[in-house]
Amino acid sequence: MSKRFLVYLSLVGVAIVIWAIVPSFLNDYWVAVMTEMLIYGLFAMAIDIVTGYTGLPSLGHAAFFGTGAYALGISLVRLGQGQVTSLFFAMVVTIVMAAIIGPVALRSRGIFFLLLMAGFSMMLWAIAWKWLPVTGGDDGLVGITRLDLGLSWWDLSSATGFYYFVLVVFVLAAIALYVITKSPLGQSLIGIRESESRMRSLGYNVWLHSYIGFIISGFFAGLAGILFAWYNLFLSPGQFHLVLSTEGLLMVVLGGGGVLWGAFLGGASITLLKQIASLIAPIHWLLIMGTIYIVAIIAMPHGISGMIKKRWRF
Amino acid sequence: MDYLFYALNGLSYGMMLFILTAGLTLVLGVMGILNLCAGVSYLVGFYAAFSVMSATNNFLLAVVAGALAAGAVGIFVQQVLLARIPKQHTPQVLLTFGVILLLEELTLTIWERNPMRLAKPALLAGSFPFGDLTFPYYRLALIGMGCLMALLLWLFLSKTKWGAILRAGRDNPEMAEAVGINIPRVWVWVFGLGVALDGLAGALGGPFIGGRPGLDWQVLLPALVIVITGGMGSIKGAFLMSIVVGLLITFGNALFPEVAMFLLFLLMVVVLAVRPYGLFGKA
Repeated sequence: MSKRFLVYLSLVGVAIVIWAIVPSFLNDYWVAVMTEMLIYGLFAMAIDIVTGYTGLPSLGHAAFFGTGAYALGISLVRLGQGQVTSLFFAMVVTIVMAAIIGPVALRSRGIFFLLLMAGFSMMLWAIAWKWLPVTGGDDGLVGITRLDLGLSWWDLSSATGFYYFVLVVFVLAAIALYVITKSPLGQSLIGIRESESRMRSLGYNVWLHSYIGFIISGFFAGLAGILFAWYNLFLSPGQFHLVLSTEGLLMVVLGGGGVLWGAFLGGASITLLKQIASLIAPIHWLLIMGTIYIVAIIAMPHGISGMIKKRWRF
Repeated sequence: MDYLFYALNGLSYGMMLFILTAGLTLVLGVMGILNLCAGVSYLVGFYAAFSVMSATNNFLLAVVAGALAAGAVGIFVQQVLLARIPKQHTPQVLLTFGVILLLEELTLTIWERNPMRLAKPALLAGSFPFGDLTFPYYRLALIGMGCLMALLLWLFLSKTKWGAILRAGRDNPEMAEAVGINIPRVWVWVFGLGVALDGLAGALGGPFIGGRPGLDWQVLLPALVIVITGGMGSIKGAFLMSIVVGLLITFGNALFPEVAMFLLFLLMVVVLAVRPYGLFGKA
């Protein structure tokens, strides 16, 4: 094991320890904030697979976030299924959605891919907005119940209990994503980002690899949506909206695409900043966020991870 | 008879969208910048026109004020902000998203939250009878204005020296600079013109769409569909798709309101699935 890997590992270890211990000192409101930070951190990491690693910036990943969330919600509330069944249902639906959208989306590149993904995101938003009997439309989907592990010592109905559940899921998902990015598939995606034509001439099945990467990305975005549904217990069409998709891309870029921890930093910090801003300026907090986004994009075009990499030269 | 009514409504809405989209397409085609602020510039144009209209009751002045106000904001954004980021779509999208939030909040603070409407000019205030219904003169005038705008833009781009300069700057900026064209200065004007067109659309749309918070996204989304299906930077494509989208939204909202928005985005997805670079776009 190289020294660099050991440094990484210890940093990650410290982070996990912090995320495990800090919530026991916070009140429920801030524990909930930290839960949201994990959820959106996962969302950003999922987007990074397609955006940072494969080099296809996407303005539409709310499509998968919303699919995971609403699939779980609809299964629980409208279809009356149990939690575990609903979880699997939501996962399968998300994978199918990514499998269907993928072949169409991957025909485009650049700005067309950006806006085509936005189109898918808004198509699903339009369905969620108007299909009242199924989704509840603008009034939203209510009555979602949280998973119950059936363990007397781990009660997910409390803020802290649910936080630790999300933390465990997040760590497992992060490990899976890390392994994927370090795998031959992950390396292939990076190669596609660097030069698609060269990868083709080397004999790689570029389409297949991008497609698999796309589905993986969609799945984990949907997983974040599932966690959100359990967290919020209420869903609205906003979970599909272009605004959420844009925020997701923002999280990846401001955190630093191409490295999972960069995307996570982006997701977590923007979520935290939104909370702090809304406390400082309850009416005009969007003004603060807009300014932050503008300044950050100008000052750090390669995101936080880009700045850190330049400083520490690795 | 009803269908003709919807068609005329759809055409007028489409023409308003065309003026908005023309601004977007111009900036995208000539400078390669995806200016998401088009929607909020529409709103700025409307609010500026509204204030001037309330003060002077002069419609022409209000419309001009709307276009100029939007143009000024646009030039400021381009010079101070867009110039400082890499010339790629992703940073541009994210920066303009931040600007949208800023401008949305600013307009919310300066003007109220309530939906507002611009008064029509006295000349066009009436309606003419149309079967059982009446159709406003203003909307007819808007159809005319949209077609005139399309004609003017086409003439400008293809027949004038300035149009040639713009096209040269788009096709090969280095070569254009080598023959002595001041590309950065040209681009300021192009961006300003583009955003001014967005504001103009807002002012002209004022009498029948009005203005309220959230409207910026409501006009931006069809505009994005139009731009991307018409093909990047194609005025011809934008004109055609504006009509299609205007008709689709109007007929959709009248006949199948549940699926109108869905059909709009389905249109975008289907067109791009068949022609990944838009109808009139090049790879």
